[in-house]
Amino acid sequence: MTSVQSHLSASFAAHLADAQVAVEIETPEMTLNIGPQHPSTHGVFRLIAKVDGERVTEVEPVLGYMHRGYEKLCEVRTYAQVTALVNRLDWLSGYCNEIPFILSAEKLMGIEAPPRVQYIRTILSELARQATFLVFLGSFGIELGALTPFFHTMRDREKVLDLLESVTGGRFHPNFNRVGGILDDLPPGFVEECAAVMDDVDKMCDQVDALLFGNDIFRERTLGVGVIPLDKGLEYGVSGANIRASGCAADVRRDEPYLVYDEVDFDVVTDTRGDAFARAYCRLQETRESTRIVRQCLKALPSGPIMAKVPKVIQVPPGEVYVRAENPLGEMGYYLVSRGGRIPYRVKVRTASFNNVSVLPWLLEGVFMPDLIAILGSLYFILGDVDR
Amino acid sequence: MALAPEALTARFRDGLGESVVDTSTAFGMATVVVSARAWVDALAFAKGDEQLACDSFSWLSGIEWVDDSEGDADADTAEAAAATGAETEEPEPEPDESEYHAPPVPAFEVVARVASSTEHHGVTLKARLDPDRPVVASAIGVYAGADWHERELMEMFGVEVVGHPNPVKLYLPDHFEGHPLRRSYKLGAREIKPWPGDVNVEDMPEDTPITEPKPGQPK
Amino acid sequence: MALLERIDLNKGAGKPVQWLLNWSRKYSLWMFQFGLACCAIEMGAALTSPRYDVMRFGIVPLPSSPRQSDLMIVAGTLTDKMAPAVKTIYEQMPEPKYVISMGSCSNCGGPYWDSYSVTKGVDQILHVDVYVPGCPPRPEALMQGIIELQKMIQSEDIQDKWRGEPVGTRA
Repeated sequence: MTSVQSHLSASFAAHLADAQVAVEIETPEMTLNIGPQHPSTHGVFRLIAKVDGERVTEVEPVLGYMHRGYEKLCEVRTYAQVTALVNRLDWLSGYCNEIPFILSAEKLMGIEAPPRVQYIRTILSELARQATFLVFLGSFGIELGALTPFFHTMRDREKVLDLLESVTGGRFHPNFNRVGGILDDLPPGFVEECAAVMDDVDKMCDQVDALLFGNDIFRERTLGVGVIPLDKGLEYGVSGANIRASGCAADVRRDEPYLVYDEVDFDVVTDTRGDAFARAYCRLQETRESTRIVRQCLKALPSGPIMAKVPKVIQVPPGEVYVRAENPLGEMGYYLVSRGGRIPYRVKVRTASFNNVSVLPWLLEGVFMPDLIAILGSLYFILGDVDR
Repeated sequence: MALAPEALTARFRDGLGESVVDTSTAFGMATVVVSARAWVDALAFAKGDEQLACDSFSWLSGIEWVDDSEGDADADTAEAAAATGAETEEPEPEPDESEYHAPPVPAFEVVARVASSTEHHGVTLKARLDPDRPVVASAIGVYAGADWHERELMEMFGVEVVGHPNPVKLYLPDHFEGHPLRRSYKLGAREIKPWPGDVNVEDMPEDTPITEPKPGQPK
Repeated sequence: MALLERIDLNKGAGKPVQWLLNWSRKYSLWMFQFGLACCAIEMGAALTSPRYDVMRFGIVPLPSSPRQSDLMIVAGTLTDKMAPAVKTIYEQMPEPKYVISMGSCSNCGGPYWDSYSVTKGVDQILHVDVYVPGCPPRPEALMQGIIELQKMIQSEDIQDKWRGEPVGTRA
């Protein structure tokens, strides 16, 4: 059996060598348009790729199909209205988008939310993070041809969304934060229910770990694909799991603790490989860390008021401040400029995906065509977050 | 070791000397304003200096400061006028670093945020440009990630970025006219139809008793 | 079609034929997903999440091309830059075709009613049959929208619909 195999492979190699010598395949450069409506792009994203055979020689991303003019709209809305609007930036983790904006307004006003609020905000942020990562773990599998993990993750995502909904009333655009506090307290029975769901999510992580990350085809398609070197990544401002997978332990929750992240114990997950596999695996591990944070917060949840003493009409004194937070997709921040009054003067939204995507023209140069989808999927961007 | 905001601004003053126009540490954020000519040098200094080591580029954008708050039509105009009046009357040339002070209007500022991944501190760099014809040099040579941010700056504010390799629109369709983030750019929908109802910035009613509808009474 | 030319489906023996044709059409809607923004995630939840499972209504959610589909769901914010692409896709669909506009943005612009770059409603560029309100609508709301569309199809006059209407100009 082995002799037959070796004979076959030897003859195959000989044929291959012949073919290489005898035939030179002419591959004229082709321009391939991907998008703006393509299932693997998480929204309306367009890539104009020049391909030579199977190799991508040049890529030009075309943005703006989801540009809604957030920064201009923030200049004509009151603070409460902006909070409702920014939910829809990164639409998978709407709750997390509110946090830095509310914190920046609170910072300018000199208000600090009561401890119970800080804990509840942390819990809800982490739940939104889990919901986001569960979509990623499912959809990344689909992009590489594995359909089953998607049903596992979507099943448990519904449970997480139920939790969010029981508190905020919204599935993923809660609009739950107010300057100085939150809208409402936790519903009765939330703590027990949440702990049970965290167990489910942990179990699901183990399933996906075995099902997806242990799969040979998945490993072949992601290991060593789309490596972002650390210095390049930093220069482009890549953040979140994308940069942590390249070996940089940058996590706003650790570097500039906001909410109660300095009171809970969690690991900043890093990897040194910097490839698509590492990025995906970091997110899986962060889902586990996230359940850990939620459990600790549930245990330490203090009682108390859910609203600080704030004036009836929110008026922010003049000032400029940049507040950032670690969102599921990376560092998100708002540069808030106020000249007094009820309307922000200028809001610069720093979104994670915009910088993460800006590395694409450099990253996709010279990769194989099928790897392009793996790289796009592993960077994990949301178009609302890119285009704003 | 992360540097405190005061140490960061002092480092810039030492390193860049005359080019530093203004510094601020208000709200715990280090802000360094440099002259427009020294914009790229300041970014290069932030990246190259051993103590600063700002290897991570966060974002780049602009702020347009205008004399009145025409942009937000619903704002209390008297209040805004009082605020701007106070700013222009500032007599002292060297305001306290720890207190916030807005630039004299009209002004145009280009703003960039860079951070250090090893030291875990960040600094906001600003340069004041000519508000009528803002021109700034491209920072792509220092931070490659500035590329798209500068395209956005050109498109949204009409700033001329000298030395940008690909100065085309990033977001908007080619036929789009105007620079939306300019304060003089009006939102068409709001011009035609103001915010429906007064609830936009209405004062909260003072001590209005909430009356429950009686049973049987239509709500 | 020959049958439809010969008999009047609105009276006598034609009525049950029309009922049967409509009944069979409404339970085999091939759906093209035009997911644009947030609503696309809820649409995805409605289609793939085991909890909602829209396929039990006879919706086939994954046609490989708009040329095979009967129903397009426009879910999310439509921008001026995107609008030509949506119009092109719509024109590729064969008649009879239906459109569900899902979410406030594609209904009327939604929270971006004053934006400089958002199209104020997908009905400005094509004909919409059912509007599903919400920001974003829950998967249940989308399912109700589909059921409303099926009711509409059941009561349709096929002869009117199929007679003399060139493809792609219903808007």
